[in-house]
Amino acid sequence: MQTVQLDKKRHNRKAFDCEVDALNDYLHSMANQHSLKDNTRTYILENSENPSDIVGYYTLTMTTIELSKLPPNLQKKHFNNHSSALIARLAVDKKYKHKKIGSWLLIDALKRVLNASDIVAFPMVIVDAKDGIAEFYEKFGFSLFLNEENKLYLPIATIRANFGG
Amino acid sequence: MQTIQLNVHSNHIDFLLSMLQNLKDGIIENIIVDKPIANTSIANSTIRLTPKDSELFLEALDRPPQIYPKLKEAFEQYENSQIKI
Repeated sequence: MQTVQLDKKRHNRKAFDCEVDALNDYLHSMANQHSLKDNTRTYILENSENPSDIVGYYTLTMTTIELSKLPPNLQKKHFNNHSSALIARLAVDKKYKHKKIGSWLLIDALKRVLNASDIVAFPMVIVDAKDGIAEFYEKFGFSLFLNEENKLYLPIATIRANFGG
Repeated sequence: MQTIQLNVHSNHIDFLLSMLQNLKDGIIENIIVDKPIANTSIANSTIRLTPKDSELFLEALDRPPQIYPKLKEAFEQYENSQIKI
């Protein structure tokens, strides 16, 4: 299994349905445009027997860190307005639910982020979780920003340590 | 060795960290923090930091990254491609 960048000629975006309208709509109509403008990159997990069939996807971009919403020990380590990777979206088609595809996509995204951070340093990856999904990310070590219910972070150093780097 | 008295503004954290390192390394003997935290019960106090305090503080800042079993396990499953579509 491997992810590839979204290709509108190859991938049947309209057939994708993860049962969350915002995530469906983004893939159907925005992801390709954002990629063409170098605002985001969307990676697709294809069905190996039918590559046009999208099993799941995630979108990566950059954002700024709100230092004041981090614990004091991390505030002291990083610059104000430092950039960070952002997993802006992550979704699995309803046909493939309960197969641990979400976990697999998350690890794939974290690997890409870790590789990128070796080239252009940034200290953490942030995720904007949809309502009720924050717990999914907390299981993998993400921590909530102070006074936030759905915005979480994971230091690059933690990813590196857990991935045996 | 000498005792240095600092009036450290919150923006000068890099300077404070370098002084803590000097304290840990034995280059200076004490750091005295005067009126340490505004608007608290210790706003009019003086705190004396010792090399041991400095060591603990610096260690806390450089705590090694935590290992999360679920993250590690998911990574290993990913590497072994145990998920089939």
